[in-house]
Amino acid sequence: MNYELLQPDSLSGAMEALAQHGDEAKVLAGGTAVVLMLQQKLIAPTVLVSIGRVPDLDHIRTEPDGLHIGPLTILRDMERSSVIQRRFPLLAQACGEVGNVRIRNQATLGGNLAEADYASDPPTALLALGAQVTATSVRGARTIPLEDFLVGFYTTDLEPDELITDIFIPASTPGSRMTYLKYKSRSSEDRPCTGVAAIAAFGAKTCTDLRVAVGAACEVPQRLPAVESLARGQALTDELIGEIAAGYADSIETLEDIRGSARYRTQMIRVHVYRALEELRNGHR
Amino acid sequence: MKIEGSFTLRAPVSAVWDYLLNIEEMSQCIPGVNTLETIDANTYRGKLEVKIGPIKAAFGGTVTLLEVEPPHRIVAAIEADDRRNASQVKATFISVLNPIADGTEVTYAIDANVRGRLAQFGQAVAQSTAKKMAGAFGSCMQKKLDAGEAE
Repeated sequence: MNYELLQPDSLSGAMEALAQHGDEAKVLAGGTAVVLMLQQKLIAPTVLVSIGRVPDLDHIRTEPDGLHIGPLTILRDMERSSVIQRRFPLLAQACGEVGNVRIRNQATLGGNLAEADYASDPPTALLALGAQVTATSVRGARTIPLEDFLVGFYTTDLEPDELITDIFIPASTPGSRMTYLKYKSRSSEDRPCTGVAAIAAFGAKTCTDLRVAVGAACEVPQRLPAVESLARGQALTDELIGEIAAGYADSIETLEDIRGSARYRTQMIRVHVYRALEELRNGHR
Repeated sequence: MKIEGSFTLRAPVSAVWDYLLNIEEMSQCIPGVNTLETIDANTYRGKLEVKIGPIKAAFGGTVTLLEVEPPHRIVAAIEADDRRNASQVKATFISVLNPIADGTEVTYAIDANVRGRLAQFGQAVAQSTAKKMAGAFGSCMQKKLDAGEAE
């Protein structure tokens, strides 16, 4: 491992370092992913830009239109944040499901998104929430909807000189119910075989809005607006829930890895979308 | 691991076959192939670079044609290694050309044995990467076939 370690103490210093070294540089946040890749010699950057000394990147800030989360916020703080638990409980759940407490005390939300590992929990929850990522470079800042940010396996829309500086979650309809169901096919600390994030708002008797994201079973987490809209203005009967679960199972091109075959994952999507919607309808959360 | 897929080309089987068997020309359509040299009638040596997110793999190795049944089926053995990632690949590649209504369907099946650090990425990443490469290969080939027809 032969790299130069830079530890800028300001955002502008970090962005200048990335602008200068570009593709040769790698950003180091919590290091749970990057250090493994370095040790395994899967990546060989000439410069590591550690952003740990850059101030104000670990905020959890409530604004009238939603919640702003700094990229250096560790997953453990996401899980324990009272504002996230109250307003976006599925995000606290999803962050609390990652690895184990030692990993969550080190891994950051920005790092999790930038790594873009398909077998991860927070991106699926954030997709259901309609999150947006702000990327900043010396060229300026731009805001990217999460569905455009996550491009493919370990691949994001970030340019080499860009740094995630904010993750924004728009406010949900008051009274929305939400849940994240992680399904693990091996050990208790395993990465997800499938992850389902679901958010529903209800009127007097019917569902007024439904958002469902499925991740870990496919290259990037996916929402299916056409299937989601089946619920709008309808009561969530067992039959309708079954139809929506089947819509997700039938439409998502599942992948195969050590945690399950493509065929198996299709079935697990059906089961867990069903369970998530059942839970929302019955008002457990 | 097994990787399978197919793509279609708007050209008759015979034209596709002739193009595929012109290995040096054909290899220019494979994304990431930067050198290919002919060792003998059935053996070629080349280099292939693949990028998966932050990870860059550079394989060098040989392709040996084992079975050639014109104009229908080809079987090749691939042996390659990536020194920087300390990984090796041994694979069997089978491609079959099927005539369809408006052209040719090209199917491919790869049975690969990957060892070393890159092995952890497994089936899911390999399948998706192969699919993207096949897509790019198909559209490049279509262009070359169209250009050849125009001449």
